Amino acid sequence: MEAYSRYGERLVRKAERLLQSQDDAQDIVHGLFVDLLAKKKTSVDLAYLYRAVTNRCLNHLRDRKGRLGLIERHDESLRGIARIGCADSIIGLDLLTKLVDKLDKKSAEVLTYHYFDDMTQDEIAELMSTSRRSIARRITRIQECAQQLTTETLTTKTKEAAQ
Amino acid sequence: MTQPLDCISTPISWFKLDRRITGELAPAEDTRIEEHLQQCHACRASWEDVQATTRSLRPLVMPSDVSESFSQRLKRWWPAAFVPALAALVVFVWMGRHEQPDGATRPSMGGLTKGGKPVLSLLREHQGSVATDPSVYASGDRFRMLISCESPITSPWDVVVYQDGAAFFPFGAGNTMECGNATAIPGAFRITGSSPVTICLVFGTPLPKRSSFSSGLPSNIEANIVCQQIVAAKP
Repeated sequence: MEAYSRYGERLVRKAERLLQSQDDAQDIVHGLFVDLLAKKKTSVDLAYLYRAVTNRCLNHLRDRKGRLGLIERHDESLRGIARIGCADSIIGLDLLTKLVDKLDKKSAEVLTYHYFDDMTQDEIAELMSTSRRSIARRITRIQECAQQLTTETLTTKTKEAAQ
Repeated sequence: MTQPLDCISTPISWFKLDRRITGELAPAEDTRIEEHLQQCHACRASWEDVQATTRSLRPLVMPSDVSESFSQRLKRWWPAAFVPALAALVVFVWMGRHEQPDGATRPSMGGLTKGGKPVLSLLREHQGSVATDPSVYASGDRFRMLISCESPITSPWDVVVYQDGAAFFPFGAGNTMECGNATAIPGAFRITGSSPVTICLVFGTPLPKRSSFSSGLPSNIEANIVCQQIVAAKP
């Protein structure tokens, strides 16, 4: 399948940035192409594959057992270069799993594109065929949610330290 | 995580860098990115990362009928297949009449029991070596599954793994397989812990809902499940 040889490596690397596990990233990309072959959907572009890999990674993070395994064996170096610019903070795997639980599916997808793929709001809007305003609203919600989770974690740690 | 790098303005997304390396950007966009990379250390490092990335991909086995539509195959094969198919139909009807004189109906297996129940094989990957049909596991081992059917069948499937009284589903829902001789179930999963584990492949139409597996295997669909049990290896 031409798309597999053309985009496979790129997609594995993308999945690694999110999951921080080579094995899981390989499984997700391989599984996607096996399914595409089974459906005889062989003509796909990178934008379609980016979304498909993102959603499969997020489903993997939502699965309780899959997530526990990931947290046990994740390799932080696979996150790769984090750049400060459009994303105002860096999200690690632990916060990501908590956010995925709290956010709706579309917002979790936006989170991935913005904080892990470093995409601008315009790029995300084009990829998801929606308005920039809608993406901006979701990013605000993600930031509020991340702030709330960070505060909760800090409060818990402070209480534990006091005991 | 490595220390974040400051971009001079808005970082060039990984998506754009990926599209650049696969040669999909318009020339004007490509020039704009090149100018940014000349000035931005963070994005230049990211571009170098993209260029240096090599990943070995798992082999993708092409099903034999992907490149040819059903109608094309039918046109090519129907003259040769028609006579044997008709003969098989006659024998099938004749056997049905003689085996079931009381008129009892055969249980429906979703078209999957033709030629007998499929056979499940496990592949265990432990510290770089692979073993077939293991009876034991060590915490963290990876497992893959192979399924063999006597005659080719297509069916929705799911995998359910029981451990410590809980069921979990290592793969996403909505999968379909074309079962043949030792067909690999796409993907792999890890098993951790030290308690016995039962790994089951569920198939057939309709596929039972995942919620029906939470308190053990549903008894009314026993014919459409193949399982293997493994235990933790002694240290």
